[in-house]
Amino acid sequence: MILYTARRLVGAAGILLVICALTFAVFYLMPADPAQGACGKACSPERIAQIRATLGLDQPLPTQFAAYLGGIVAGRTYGSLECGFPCLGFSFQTNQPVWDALTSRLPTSVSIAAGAALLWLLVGCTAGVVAALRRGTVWDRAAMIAALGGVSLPIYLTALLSQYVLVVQLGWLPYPREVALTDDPVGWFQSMLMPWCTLAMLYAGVYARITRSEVLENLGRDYVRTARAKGLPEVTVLRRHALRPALMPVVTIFGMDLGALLGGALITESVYGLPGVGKLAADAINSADQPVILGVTLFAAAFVVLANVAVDLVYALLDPRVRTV
Amino acid sequence: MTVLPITRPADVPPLRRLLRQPSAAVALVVVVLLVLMAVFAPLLVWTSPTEFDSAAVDPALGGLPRGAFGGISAEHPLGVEPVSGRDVLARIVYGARVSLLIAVLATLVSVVVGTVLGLVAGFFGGVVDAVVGRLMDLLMSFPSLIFMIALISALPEANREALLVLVLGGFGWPYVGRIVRGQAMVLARGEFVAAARALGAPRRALLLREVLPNLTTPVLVVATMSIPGYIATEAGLSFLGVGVRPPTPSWGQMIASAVPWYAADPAYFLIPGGFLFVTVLAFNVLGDAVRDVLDPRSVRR
Amino acid sequence: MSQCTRVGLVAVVGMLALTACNGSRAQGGSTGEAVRGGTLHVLASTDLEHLDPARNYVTSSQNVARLIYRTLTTVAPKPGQAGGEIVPDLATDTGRPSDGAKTWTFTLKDGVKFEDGQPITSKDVKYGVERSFAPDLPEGAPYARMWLVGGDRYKGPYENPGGLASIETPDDKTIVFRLNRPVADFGSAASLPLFAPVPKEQDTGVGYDGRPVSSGPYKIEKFEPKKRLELVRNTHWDPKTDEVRKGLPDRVVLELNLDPAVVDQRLVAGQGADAEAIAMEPIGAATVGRVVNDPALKDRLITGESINTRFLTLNTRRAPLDNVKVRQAIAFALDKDALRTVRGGPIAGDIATTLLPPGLAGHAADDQFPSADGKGDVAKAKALLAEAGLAQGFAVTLDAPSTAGGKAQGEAVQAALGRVGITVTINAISPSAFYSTIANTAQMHDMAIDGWTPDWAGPSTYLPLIFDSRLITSEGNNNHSQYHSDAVNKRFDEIAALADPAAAATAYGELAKQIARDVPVVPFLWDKAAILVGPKVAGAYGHVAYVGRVDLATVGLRK
Repeated sequence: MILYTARRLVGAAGILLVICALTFAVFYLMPADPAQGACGKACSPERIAQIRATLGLDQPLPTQFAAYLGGIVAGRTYGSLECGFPCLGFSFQTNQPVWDALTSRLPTSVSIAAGAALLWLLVGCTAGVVAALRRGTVWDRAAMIAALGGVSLPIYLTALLSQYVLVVQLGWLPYPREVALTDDPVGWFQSMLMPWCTLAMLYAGVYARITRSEVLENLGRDYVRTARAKGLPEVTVLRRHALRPALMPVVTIFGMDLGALLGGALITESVYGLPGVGKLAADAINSADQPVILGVTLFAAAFVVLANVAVDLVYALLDPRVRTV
Repeated sequence: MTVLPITRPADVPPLRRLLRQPSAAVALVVVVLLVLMAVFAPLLVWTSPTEFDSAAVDPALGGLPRGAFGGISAEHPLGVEPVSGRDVLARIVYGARVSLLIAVLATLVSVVVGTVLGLVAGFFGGVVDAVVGRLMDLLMSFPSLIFMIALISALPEANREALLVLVLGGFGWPYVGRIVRGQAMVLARGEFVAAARALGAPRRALLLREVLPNLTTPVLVVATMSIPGYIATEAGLSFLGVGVRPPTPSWGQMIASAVPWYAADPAYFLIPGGFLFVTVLAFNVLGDAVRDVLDPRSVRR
Repeated sequence: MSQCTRVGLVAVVGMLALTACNGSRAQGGSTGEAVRGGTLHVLASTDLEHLDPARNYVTSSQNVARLIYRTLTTVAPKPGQAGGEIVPDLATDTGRPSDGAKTWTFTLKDGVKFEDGQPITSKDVKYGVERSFAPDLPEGAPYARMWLVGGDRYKGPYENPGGLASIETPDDKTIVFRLNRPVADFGSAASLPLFAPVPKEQDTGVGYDGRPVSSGPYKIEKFEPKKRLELVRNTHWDPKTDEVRKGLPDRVVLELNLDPAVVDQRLVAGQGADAEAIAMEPIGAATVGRVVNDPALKDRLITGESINTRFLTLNTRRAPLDNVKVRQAIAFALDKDALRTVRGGPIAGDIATTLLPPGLAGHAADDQFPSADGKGDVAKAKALLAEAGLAQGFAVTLDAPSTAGGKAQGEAVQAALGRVGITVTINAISPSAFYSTIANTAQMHDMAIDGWTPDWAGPSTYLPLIFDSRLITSEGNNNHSQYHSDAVNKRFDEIAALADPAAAATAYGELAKQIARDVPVVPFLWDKAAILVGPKVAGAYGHVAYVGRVDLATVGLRK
């Protein structure tokens, strides 16, 4: 098991390294030069050259990449600027290490992702199981129509519609804003409710459909028939032989979805104006702040890759055969 | 609860089986209508989607459309865009061209790339399989939305439509590739391929004549299922400001420009939003139906 | 109250109406007296570019910085054009010129202190000015580098710790600036942030941007760039030394980089803490209708004067725009009214017909390219194009910021010029890179959505900076049109030598007409700002030095 874990982690590190290299290379295609971004309006050619030297932009690309990797592992400096471990770059537009910007935005993204995930797991999986067990009934049809509708509603539409109805027309909720859970739990809940529901609506649809088809597939398996034939109580049959195996694929996509969301719910955060990691990315892209774009991409990729490893480890724990693969 | 035995007469042609489901039939009609609308856009509307109509908006109210429901009138059946007074119907119709074309082409790219690489990986195995497999893992663990935006905004001089197709297809092919690879692996070990090989057929012939035709069904299913995703993503990218360039109309762009207006002029986001929802829903329903009809191992029937 | 939003065609009338309006509102019951205390929230859709006094060169950051640090002089805390007046701040007067305005002397007030209680000395001001020369701290106003003797060689206190000899501090209260040319309005320049004191031992170099030391009523408690700035009282600030700032709220919290629509909606709703909030930026077009139709909201709308002129820049070096007839045709074809509608309609300002806006000294009424309601004169434009041999039209590329507003303005230009056969392609550039891109002569295309706000209410930091062909540089260029006229250059030199600022202003006004005939730019809007404030905000007015935004130094909350 330890060996397996180690192998998976090394593999994950490899993927991250490649992502890092690819992203790094792509950002050198950017027309806006980071030195010019840091220099701004009243900027002479000499100043640009000076800033370029401070940022190490006059070095060859591999040297810059090595320095970047070194920064992630051990921190680094840009001229007189300190960028401590783990240095994911330094934003010269905000005079701030990218890591600091990320950590200041993370609580909002975690609030959004955790609440939404809880909601969609609860709603989506329940609907899926009910639909599977009551296959062909009104319940099944209603759940699947709702799920299809949820899957077909892009987040920005749900977000705008809910704001229009709940905030503008009915006045039931305030406009979402950044509120710390510890400062004002009620305000936090009120601000988060719409983002949670918006995200959950899309994902719950996906999860309901997956759960339903997995449960149905398992119900059709031989061992369920055998279990039934043995005269096991129906509840036991369902729980042990239909629901538990159906859980595995759900866990897989859940890991990836949650990982992706922790790396920032770009559209949700943008529409509701919540300053999470996704909003940070959107703003950085708008202002061509390459160090931040690079940092957020890596940060988000790290969450997805780690979530994949976590899912694999959960699998390995549940099913020892996997470890030998 | 008992599972009913499946009754599906194999002799009924797939299209007729598809149309037997009322929801699928409706979805197909919607999709056909949308495609016709996009193709015959210039015949349907005479107003140009980029023509300003300053008489239709009230500058004293910040350019709010004159009249109810976003300025709906005989001249502008779906109202006008605030500020500019451009005709919403014209922008919807021409926007459908952009949305559908990009989605279909991106699907084509992902299907071609995914099928070729998946086939090669699954059929030959070994090093090829390992490389393609890693590549797919890599692309699927990319925070693709952020990366797509960054990439598109990094290349502003290129043709946006082509770029969108390539980027969407480039990040989408692993989902096709994964399925094709799995199927190809099964097929490559299957009896009839073994038989063909025993008869001395060359590898390429095997790939083209035996394996590829057997992949048509799953690929068709994935392709149909992925179109709504591409429509939504293209609209999302346009929504975030990196889609097609103005004044080319696109539904995502219309919704994005409606964000500040949703309280003052709700019709302006409800109309393109409604079209987008109906389109994505229709493709989703159709995708489900195609899968149910074509995929013998599908459980949803 | 109807004249509050009605804009007079003759600008002076409009201004009088506004002033009268503001006056009546202050006495009216809708807004009570501002009292000390409370937390003022500022909802900003923009970011604070730089708080470091050496780098702070954006009006919104300067407005915020006035809460944190003081400068030798500053702008008067008054609504309307009166806000353009320069008044003493740290100094006892607005500077005493000698040697034909080549030497300027300032004396500091008694009892002025930094946030740690240390007294502010003339050496701290000298050090602050010297920092603006450091290449590590770019982006600030260029005047110290342009005007101080030896400024062309000095590289700032980090590289030249000896300091700049042309700034003398004979004692702790006196500071003398020796200039390389006569500068009649140096006292106005001294209101810019680079004339704020910086304590040398607390200078953290580039990092100073995140935590400048306070000399004003507030100090920074917490700053998260692009997200939030929290200010608390600086207990060492003595209101008796400061006739400008009121320092009413106990705390000032700025939420940065919000979506503009979100800011508008939160202020329209005015719920909870948003009742004690003001918007940093004017309302968007989408909110205008709601505000105009709702008396309660209209009452919370502040209208501010501005000296910003928006124009379409035409690159005079690129064919066929190098032909003056073509540029004149564009000036006739442009639909200025549509461009104003994009920005919110009449509430966003008046249709511009001259380079110098009405609020600026030297403005003289003129309109060389008249059309009904500013919608353009298509027939005249077509005739001019035919004269230029381009009746069949041509294609150009327009540089515009990739913001929603920038794209919308681009599309308005596109539609207007399309009427005369000119095909416009929009090149959208990310807002942060926009000005550096069009300031690069190799990257600037045929046209650009552009504009200019003088650094103080006089034409001397406007026309010479953007139309003197000798200042064209390949990067960091302000003459975006690359306009070249030897006659105009000569006239710039003659006006700069005038000792009387009023005579200089009149001369600039006449010169502006001459430049306008060559159409390097097409002015289309003289800005006004319509800003929403929460129901509990009192004493808010738009300040002309901050392009009509609410003067943060004096705004407060009522009980």
